[in-house]
Amino acid sequence: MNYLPKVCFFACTYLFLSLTAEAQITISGQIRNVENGEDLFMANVYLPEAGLNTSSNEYGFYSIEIDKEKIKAPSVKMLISYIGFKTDTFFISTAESKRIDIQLQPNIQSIKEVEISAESGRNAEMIESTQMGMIHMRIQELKNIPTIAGEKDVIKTSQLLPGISGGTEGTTDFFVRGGDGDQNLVLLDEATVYNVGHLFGFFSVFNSDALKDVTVFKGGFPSFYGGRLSSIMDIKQKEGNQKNWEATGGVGLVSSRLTLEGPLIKDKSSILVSARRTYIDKVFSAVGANLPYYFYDLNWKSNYKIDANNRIFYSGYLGDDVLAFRESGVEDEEAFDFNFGFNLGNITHSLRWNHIYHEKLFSNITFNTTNFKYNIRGSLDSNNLLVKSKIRDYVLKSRFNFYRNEKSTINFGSEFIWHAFRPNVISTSGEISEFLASQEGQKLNFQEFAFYVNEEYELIEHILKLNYGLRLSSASTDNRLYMGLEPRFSARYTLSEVSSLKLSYTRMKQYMHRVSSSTVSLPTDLWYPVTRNIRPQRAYQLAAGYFYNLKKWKSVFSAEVFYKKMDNLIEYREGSNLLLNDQFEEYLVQGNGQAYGIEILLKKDQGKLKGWIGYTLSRSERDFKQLNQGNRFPAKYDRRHDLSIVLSYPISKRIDLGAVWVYSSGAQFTAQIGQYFVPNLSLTGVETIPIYSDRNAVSMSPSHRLDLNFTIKPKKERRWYGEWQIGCYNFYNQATPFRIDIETESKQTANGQEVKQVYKQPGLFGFIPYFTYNFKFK
Amino acid sequence: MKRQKFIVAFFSMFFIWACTPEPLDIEIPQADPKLVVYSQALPAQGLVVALTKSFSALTLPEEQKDSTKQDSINNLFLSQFLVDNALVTLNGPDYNDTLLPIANGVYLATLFPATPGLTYNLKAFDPQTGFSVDASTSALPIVNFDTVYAKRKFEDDSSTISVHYSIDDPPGEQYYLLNIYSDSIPQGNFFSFSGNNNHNSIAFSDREFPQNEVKGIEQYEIGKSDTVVVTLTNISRDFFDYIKARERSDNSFLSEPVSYPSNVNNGLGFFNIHQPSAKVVEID
Repeated sequence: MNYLPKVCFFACTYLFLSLTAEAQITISGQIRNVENGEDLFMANVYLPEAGLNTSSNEYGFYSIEIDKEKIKAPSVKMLISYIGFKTDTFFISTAESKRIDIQLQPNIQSIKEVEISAESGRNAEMIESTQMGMIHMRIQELKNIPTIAGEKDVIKTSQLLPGISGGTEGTTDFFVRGGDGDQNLVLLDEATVYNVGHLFGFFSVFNSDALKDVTVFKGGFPSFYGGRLSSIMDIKQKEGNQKNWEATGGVGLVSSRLTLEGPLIKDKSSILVSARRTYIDKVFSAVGANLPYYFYDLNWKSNYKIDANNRIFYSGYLGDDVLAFRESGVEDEEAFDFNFGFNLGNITHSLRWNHIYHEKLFSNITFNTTNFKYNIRGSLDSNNLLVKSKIRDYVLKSRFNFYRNEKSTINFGSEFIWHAFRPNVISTSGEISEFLASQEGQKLNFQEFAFYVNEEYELIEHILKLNYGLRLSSASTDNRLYMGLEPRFSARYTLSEVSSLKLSYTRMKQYMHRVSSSTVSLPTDLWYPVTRNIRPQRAYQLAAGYFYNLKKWKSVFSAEVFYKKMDNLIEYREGSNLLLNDQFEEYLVQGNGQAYGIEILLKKDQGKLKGWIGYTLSRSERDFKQLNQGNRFPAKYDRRHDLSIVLSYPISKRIDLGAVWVYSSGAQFTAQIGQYFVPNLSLTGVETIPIYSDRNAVSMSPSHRLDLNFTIKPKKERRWYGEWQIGCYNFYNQATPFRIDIETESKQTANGQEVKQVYKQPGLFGFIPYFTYNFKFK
Repeated sequence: MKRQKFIVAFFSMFFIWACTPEPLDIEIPQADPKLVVYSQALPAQGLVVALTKSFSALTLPEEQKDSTKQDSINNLFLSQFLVDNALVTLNGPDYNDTLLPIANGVYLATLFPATPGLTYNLKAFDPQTGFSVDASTSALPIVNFDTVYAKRKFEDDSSTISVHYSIDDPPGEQYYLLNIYSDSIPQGNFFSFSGNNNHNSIAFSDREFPQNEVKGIEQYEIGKSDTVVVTLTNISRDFFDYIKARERSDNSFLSEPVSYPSNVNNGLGFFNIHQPSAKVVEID
């Protein structure tokens, strides 16, 4: 029997009745920054007399239903607050539903403590919401955080949060709650970004001047997110100033950047264009060295408000790493001509349409494309080599927010992704073609589809709120269809006005994986879909947390424990050579993993002293029958302790100090612990064979580091605003180990020269000073 | 312009100088020493078994302790780890003998039949350390070349030859080790460095060849010799995996270290009794 028509009928009736109920009124609208028209995400809307609370969605839309029979007053007070902005107060008539668009004024008196008259703010939202395992940061919060070479970086800043750890020092690889590096979905205006690092991951592709905010989910994943097991990093670009034209930029040691934004039609349409380029090639050229490498990023966004209920956005990103090396001359009386180069980069396009159907129903429809490709080329005289790979995604997403009533909000939508992979296209000519034949490479197309629905429901008013949902995901590949249900559940139990307990359970599936020819992720790593033989990865995560709003200190404290079980994880057989190898399936093995731990966060983002202290105690393990003789082993980045202290403080009227101190247990390593001799296979000599420890059995030494940043502001604020940022990475030059080597050490002793072999753990980056000049012109 | 270049150079050098943190020390417990077994059947001679012992990853040859000498392994250093005076026995349904020491760390089983299909057990005991190991393996039938010949690759270059071969591949999954020597097969004192180091070893499976026609061409660099010796050994899947593990291990920081499989109980290395067939080939 076909139940689908009956289900649709009842759903529509339910929806209709909800929309037409008359005992309630709905106040809805959009919340924006009055200075530039930017939407404010998670602005808090609070009705103290009704005891109602909601927050704006990513597009600044809010909707709150008031039960007239409970209020019994002709009007109610409504408070709109947002961190760094003055709280607005309205008195709303309860006679009928209303659309109220709000424009908040930024609070420019940043030195004084902000008086929050509303009972709710972002901290209160953290207590009140069912969401856990989530951190939202506005880009201004990154401003004073020191980083390598002074390049502000959302990914490096995220690595300072509990539950998120970095891989090799200074790179953009990150590992969330014991997961692997390819289990993180990074979205830029909803388009997937596959390669998030320049220069082998030492700088992220995200130019912070173009960004508005970033939201990171480590657990408690809302049902509209899927496709990766461990995290979602949702990065939003700024829309562009709708009021006035302005230019911002900066000149630093490594790169310079310039952003222009302004209204095309005031209060209706705006545009933003932001560019960044490094000049590593120019610096080396100036000292006589030849390193013709550079990277650049270009971000753009435009939006148009068609009417009060319709708005369209178009945004994109283009970035590239470029190397073009050439040398020619005469050697051994023979002329030679050598060329080597590569291009590696992403292009994304996002086209979105926001529509308000009704005061209670909001939708966002997105069409986006992602194109990641690289080519590596080399030639020596008549020998030529060209290697190309690319991924192209076409994505159509819909997301509906239905604010059913004061107790219930329903979200539903769908997602369709067409992936086209073309890895390892090789073209060779000359003698080299005898060793490496040209190959067309595989053409792999696969599709993902998902449908989701969830409801947030206040079961017991002000006490117990539930968020439950279901995501149905599927992937079609290689004549095989994989499908899975991904239940999502979270709950908030209010202990008091300032504290709550939360619980969440999520199931995630991942239908593609990153294939690496090395133990560190490289920009040339390739993504592949699941196949008949390589099954989708799965994870179940259970988390519980305690949240406390320290109102007196304008801080929020949270402690979360989590347990994550992962199946069908992917590793490689030892010694696998996957470079230019399309037959990699035989080298892949699948197994299981688990991770568990506790995360503690104390965050203060109001007042003179701002920042956070984050601590994680965790363990992450792997179980693969074909690896480590079938014995369980630690994950590579299983760091037992991870502590970050991030502070920002104005030490004078003009100077702000930013400081970061991190302490982390060492990553795991497979070290050589012995050796022996055997004859070679043809019995013509002797080979030394190393003996290794169990896989990842050796913990490298813990590391710690202090970074400092001073922001020197101008004496007076004029149309041209310029500030200096002077700082350093790794103030006391402490090594952060990334591997263990055996080195020969020579020491002078009383008995003469003593030479011995010792283990050494080198670090990549020591003390690195930087200075940057940032400017803004209105 | 010169001043600008100087300023850029100064800051660049300062920048580069700044980025050199001192590496951190760490102590890691070493693996317990073990006996290491390697064996090789030599046509018309028998089975040769080599015994060494493993040692610390931090052990340094005496010569390397003198910073003016940069040789890596030499015979004197190597000799410390060869196991002499061990009691080595080999037993099977049609063989039972104690191996004769013929050189430092090298023992010979004479008239070893290696009858295909039978299993043989090796035991070794080192009285000096008290280490004891044992290993078992089965003998496989000898597989011969169908054809094998060698040609100069380029008319104007006599040092590069191509060796063409085809194998009389029996049914079922088979694994092979092909060796090419420019002179003769080494005679068993394979811990000496004085032998000819010009060789080529290739391990492969018959699954790599379409339609079960196992044939190929290998390039080889040769001196002034007019002949090469080509050997073909039919090996087990386990020994093939062992050889492949050795090939894959390159100790680069980019690849995961390779653990070598072993069929030696309480020890390391690999015990095999596979019999090669050999051909002396004149170069056209």
